[in-house]
Amino acid sequence: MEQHFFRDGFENYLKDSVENFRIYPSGKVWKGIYNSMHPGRRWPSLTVMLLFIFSLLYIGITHSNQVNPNRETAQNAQLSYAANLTASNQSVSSNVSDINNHGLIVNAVNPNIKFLPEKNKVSKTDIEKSSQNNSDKPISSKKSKKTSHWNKNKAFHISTNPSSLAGFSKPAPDAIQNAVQTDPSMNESESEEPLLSVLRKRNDSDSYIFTSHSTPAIKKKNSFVAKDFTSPITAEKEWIEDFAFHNQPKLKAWKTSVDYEAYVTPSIGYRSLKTNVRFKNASRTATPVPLFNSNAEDPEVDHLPAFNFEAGAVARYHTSSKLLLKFGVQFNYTNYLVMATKMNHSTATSLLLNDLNSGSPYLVSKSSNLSNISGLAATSENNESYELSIPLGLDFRLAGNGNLQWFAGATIQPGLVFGGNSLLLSADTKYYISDNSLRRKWNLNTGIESYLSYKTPSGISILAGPQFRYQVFSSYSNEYSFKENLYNLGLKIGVVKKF
Amino acid sequence: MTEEQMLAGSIKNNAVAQEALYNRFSPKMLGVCYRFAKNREDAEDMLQEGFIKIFTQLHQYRNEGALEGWIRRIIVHTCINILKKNKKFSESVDIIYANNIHVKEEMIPSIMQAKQVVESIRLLPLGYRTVLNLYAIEGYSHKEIARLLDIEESTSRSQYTRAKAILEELLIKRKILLKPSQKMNYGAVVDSPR
Repeated sequence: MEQHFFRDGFENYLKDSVENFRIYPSGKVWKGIYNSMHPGRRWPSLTVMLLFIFSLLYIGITHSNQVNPNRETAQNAQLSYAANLTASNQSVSSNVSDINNHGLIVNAVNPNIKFLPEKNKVSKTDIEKSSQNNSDKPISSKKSKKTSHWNKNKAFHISTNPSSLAGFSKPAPDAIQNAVQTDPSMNESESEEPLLSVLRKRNDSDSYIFTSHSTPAIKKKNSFVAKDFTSPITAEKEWIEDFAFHNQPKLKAWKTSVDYEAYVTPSIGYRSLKTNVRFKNASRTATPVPLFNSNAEDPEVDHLPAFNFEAGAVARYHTSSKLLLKFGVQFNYTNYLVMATKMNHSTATSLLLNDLNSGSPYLVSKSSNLSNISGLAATSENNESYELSIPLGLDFRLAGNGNLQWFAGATIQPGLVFGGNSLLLSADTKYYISDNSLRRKWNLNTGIESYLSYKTPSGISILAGPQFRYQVFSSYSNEYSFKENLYNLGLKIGVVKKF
Repeated sequence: MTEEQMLAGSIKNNAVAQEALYNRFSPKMLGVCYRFAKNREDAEDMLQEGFIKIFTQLHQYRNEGALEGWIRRIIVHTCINILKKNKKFSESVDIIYANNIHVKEEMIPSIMQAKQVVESIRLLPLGYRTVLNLYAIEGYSHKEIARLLDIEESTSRSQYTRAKAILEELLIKRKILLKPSQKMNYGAVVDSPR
């Protein structure tokens, strides 16, 4: 009878015991259900991803359009040239631009053309005179301004037109005289300097070297061989091709202010571990969880710092001689050691979590074979994670302006955390539970650094200096009973090279 | 939101109503899945698949009996179907090897009382655990279990008998239950479950 009672009651006992057993599912379960039930309404991440892709495409298209002015310039130059040809039976249109960076191009179509001799220096006064006298002046003047709109301060246009000879140097009896139109924005001091002094005739009787005298460096750089074109059609075509090929001022300007940096930072990483504030508040009002000591600021654990590293590449934009902005991608490996004892079997334990909706704590069953208290064999486990981040920051030059410079910088690094191994503390802090589900997927790091940069003779700069990185948000979601913030102290080593 | 509103909205594929229904029943149903599953992740997969079935078949619910019972039945069937996809499961429910099972005492969980029983059940071999869950807790007959798991009815009975014996031993060892010889019934559980 007694045995029978035992048997009958056993099922009832089991049923009663487990009837009110509840586990709160993680958020991803509902997301999965929602996506299955409403395939038309994807989660915002999809929208963000599409937005990101379209932004990249837009930037790409916009960027490629920025190069187009060269083409436009070439077309305008062609128009200008054609207009010149129309205005004067045979004329020379010489477009000269971007003195700082480029060679000057001279198109000498007519072998009868004579250029100004070296002693005949052109000053602004002469130019103004020329402008006044050139009331009937060429379409090329107007066109040429258009041609050189992207570099008004530096570009000027040379055009030879029979009607624009007056007021200039001595006209050659059988030649077209030169007229030089310059941009009105040119300042006085510049105008008094000889803009172009000479087209030196080389040994080859049909070729000329056109030299600018702006600076010695430029002088050297801007030497350019002017071709002699015997056929006007061929000459026109080749001139346009040459012009389009050699005149890329925007690209050059961009290149001078942007460089890129590749770096690696071996570091020592550790964490700060504190009780989640939400639990402190909850424990006063909600159902108390006896195993959890909410007053403990720092749980009694044995952790040690470990080796970490980061590697990345950033593009750096020099806004001024002292300040540069940077943007790029970075990979982080973060890690610290958990000193524990390994058990030879799994033990059931539980995680204490906070219901974010109700604010009440609850327990989730887990199993563990790592103990935070004495066990059989001491072991060290890695609490590690990987992160792909986008560093955005600025560097400020503190000292030096030669080959050796000293910088200080700061970055923020939003990033995606993935993989690794998360060792969570159980509710009673006696066990470690390996579980990545609570790890925060998106996080934000901040970094400060100071480094010395040395420019080698080859033009590559080498930099090295200390760096500190701190993780702003806890590694785990707010559900978890502890907050963990990682930090690293390392030595950054990198190279910088111009594009 | 009342149960009727949740039902009507969920049938119309209203996301708000579906979420309300999910929030109402998911914790308990995950507890059910957890007893069948190998771990929590598997249990959540079962729950997810089960609720998708629930929402797609909700129009078939005729208000005959409690909604919770209907939902629970779908969840249990989903769990069984998922388990049956695993080849090892078929072997474990069809072979009786209780004599070889030895559960160490320290494997018994030592946390909350309500969970001690569940965790003890989860320590049983998969086949035993499934039959015990279906018979003792979900209330299925051996005939239904045999049909559900594609096994003989006699196999179900013997599986259950052995599962029960092991579980009793576990619970008694841990003093969650007192021995029958001590003339105590199940009211003598140390702490009532939460």
